Amino acid sequence: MVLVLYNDPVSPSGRSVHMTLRALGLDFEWKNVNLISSENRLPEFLKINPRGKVPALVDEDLKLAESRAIACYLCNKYATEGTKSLYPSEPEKRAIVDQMLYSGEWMWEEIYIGYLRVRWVLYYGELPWFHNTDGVREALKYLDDRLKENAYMAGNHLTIADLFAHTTIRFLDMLDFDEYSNYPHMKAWMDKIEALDYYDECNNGKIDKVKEKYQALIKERQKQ
Amino acid sequence: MGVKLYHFGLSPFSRAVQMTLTALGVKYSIETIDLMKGEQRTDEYKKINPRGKVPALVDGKLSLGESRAIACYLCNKYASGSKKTLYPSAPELRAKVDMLLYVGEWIADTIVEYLNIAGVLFRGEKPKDEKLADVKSCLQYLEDCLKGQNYIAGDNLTIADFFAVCPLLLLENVDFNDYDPYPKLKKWINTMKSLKYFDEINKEPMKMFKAAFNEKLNLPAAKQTGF
Ligand SMILES: N[C@@H](CCC(=O)N[C@@H](CS)C(=O)NCC(=O)O)C(=O)O
Ligand SMILES: N[C@@H](CCC(=O)N[C@@H](CS)C(=O)NCC(=O)O)C(=O)O
Ligand SMILES: N[C@@H](CCC(=O)N[C@@H](CS)C(=O)NCC(=O)O)C(=O)O
Repeated sequence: MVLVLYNDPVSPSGRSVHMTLRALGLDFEWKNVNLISSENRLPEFLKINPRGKVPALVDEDLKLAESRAIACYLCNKYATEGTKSLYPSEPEKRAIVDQMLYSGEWMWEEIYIGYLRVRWVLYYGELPWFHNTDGVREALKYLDDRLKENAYMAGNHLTIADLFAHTTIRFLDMLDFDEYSNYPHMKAWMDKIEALDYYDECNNGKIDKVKEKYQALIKERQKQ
Repeated sequence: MGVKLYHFGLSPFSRAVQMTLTALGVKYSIETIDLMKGEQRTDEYKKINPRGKVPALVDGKLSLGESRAIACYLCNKYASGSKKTLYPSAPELRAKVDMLLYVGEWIADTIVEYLNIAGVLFRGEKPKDEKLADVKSCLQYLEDCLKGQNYIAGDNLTIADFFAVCPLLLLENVDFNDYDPYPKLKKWINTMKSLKYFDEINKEPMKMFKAAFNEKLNLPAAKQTGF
């Protein structure tokens, strides 16, 4: 059995899946799908995920898309005594993790579609929505409020909900948004995630190239 | 005590949770949160769902937001016997359901964007015809899912079907009826509509919403308007 992960390291949700694999201690084969050169639109990849999105996972006959569904699957299938707290099975506890995973989609919309607009900047000649920060701050405040009561998003220990929320929030680095410290509980939690022993391998430097291109395009358009 | 659903009939997500509760046979009470009156923004409700969205669920000490998380919880907690197939526990089968629940967000967003619901209701705008192509990619995606199986996530009815059909049927608000290229989807819609609890949960709210939506579009007068 070989797990195959199709991914582009720049993808925040893809990096969350990568961290999930590491947290579970699983071996896998990495197949790179370069988004900048549109490899996600190649027929071979569309056979894996007809929607042409990364990440995707193949496990024998199973072809799976949607990062959060992939992370849940990996835990359901491969978690051991030592790792099952990443996605607890008691219904009440699991419900909170699921709730945070689903509200993560909303945070992603505020940050990506409502503010950074990376795809529109890279491909459609647009600028980020610099002034549309209300939704971003609302998402950060929501996180900060939750983390006031709990060390992690779904309670007192790490779950996959943390691995997803973190990469979404950190994607704000694309625009060097540096208000993290205004949300002290969130900032303390970010530091904890960044101290995980697999964090660097999955995240460090992964956005640099795309970020450089994105920021260069923005500068050029602002001059005009 | 018992299970309590904070509900608004016009929300398709709220109705998908209701379908889940009914399919499971879980007894529950309803508290209506009237979005038209802004009841989702009261401090009292924000204690239950800090995001101020419907639906939400309270069960004992647990307060839960996010419709899909609610449906998963209800199955994890209360499904027994033949009801277990609504959210199967074999990892491979469950993965398909989870995937379709997440894909359902894309489908719902795409349809809401095409219909331009907020624009039509509150700003005198029209549906965005230029988004119809995106809607059609959603329909094609579902058609492909249904190849060789009766329901979108497998051979059995699952909660993913509820969360796909409720937003999909928003298309009835503009009498979208171009299902000929999607025969399997058409058949599945009919299967969903003939579930014995479908009408009691969906019929009135769908009719009310359609009347209000069409009144705003200045189409032939609606018989009744809810708001
Ligand atoms: N809901 C999906 C979203 C995946 C997604 O949007 N992936 C992006 C990269 S972060 C992508 O593949 N974009 C390529 C494209 O849209 O063409 C998930 O969580 O997996
Ligand atoms: N848009 C209004 C009302 C919400 C509403 O009516 N829900 C929308 C989508 S979130 C709907 O599509 N209802 C359609 C239906 O019930 O068929 C608000 O948020 O205050
Ligand atoms: N992701 C949430 C979305 C819920 C949602 O957007 N609900 C709408 C009604 S369809 C709402 O409560 N709107 C009220 C508001 O935004 O003020 C879920 O699935 O529960």
